[in-house]
Amino acid sequence: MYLWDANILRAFGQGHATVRLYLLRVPWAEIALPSVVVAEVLRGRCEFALKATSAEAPLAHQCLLDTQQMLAQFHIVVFDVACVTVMERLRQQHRRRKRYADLMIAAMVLAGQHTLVTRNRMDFVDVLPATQLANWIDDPPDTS
Amino acid sequence: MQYTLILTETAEGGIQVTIPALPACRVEAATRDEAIRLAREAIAQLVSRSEVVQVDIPEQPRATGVPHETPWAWFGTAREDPTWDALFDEIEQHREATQDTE
Repeated sequence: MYLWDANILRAFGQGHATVRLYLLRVPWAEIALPSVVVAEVLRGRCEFALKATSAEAPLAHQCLLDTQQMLAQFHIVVFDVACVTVMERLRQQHRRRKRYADLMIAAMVLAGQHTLVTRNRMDFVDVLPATQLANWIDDPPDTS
Repeated sequence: MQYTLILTETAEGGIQVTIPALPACRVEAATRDEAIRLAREAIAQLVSRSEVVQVDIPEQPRATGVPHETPWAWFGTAREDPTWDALFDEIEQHREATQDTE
């Protein structure tokens, strides 16, 4: 599966032209969101809805509903027990402190033998092999 | 065995009978009584040449309702959403603030 990092979901919402080219080539069944990204997005929308002023609240709650419906369009890969083992190994192998969510996503990619689609290749280049990293924003698909 | 009949008046003034338990079985008649009689006959005929077999299918239906095709209707829908970029900027800030501490 192609697991999307948050920045690719952001580009999907924006209607990014290069992401569109990939979507024309890759079956939807091969694309998924890591449950980590789903949690991050819902946390953001929930915080917005719960902390909004009364003037902002209608927009914030509509955003929560719209985003929840958009997320429902995606296959979701769950951070499971196999990911825990891989994550512990990554922690031991990499002395340099990593961002926690990045580590979780990397563990999911390795545990499930997925490909991570992200614009932030540099955040993962030391934990994932190049063959399991793709950038659907800055690297257009091969059209030859 | 009892079957539920749905009697619906047609545009021509007749009565159409549908049977939810037997979707392939439909009859139409000029009157209500005739419709019920024909439906009874049709059910009896169908049942007399049918056999009920139950099979186990290990695969369960998808519970999530995730579409098979790319949901283009959602592609670019956040263009007009002034909060979309802020949402992802905050996600990035959260990640920066949450370094692995072990």
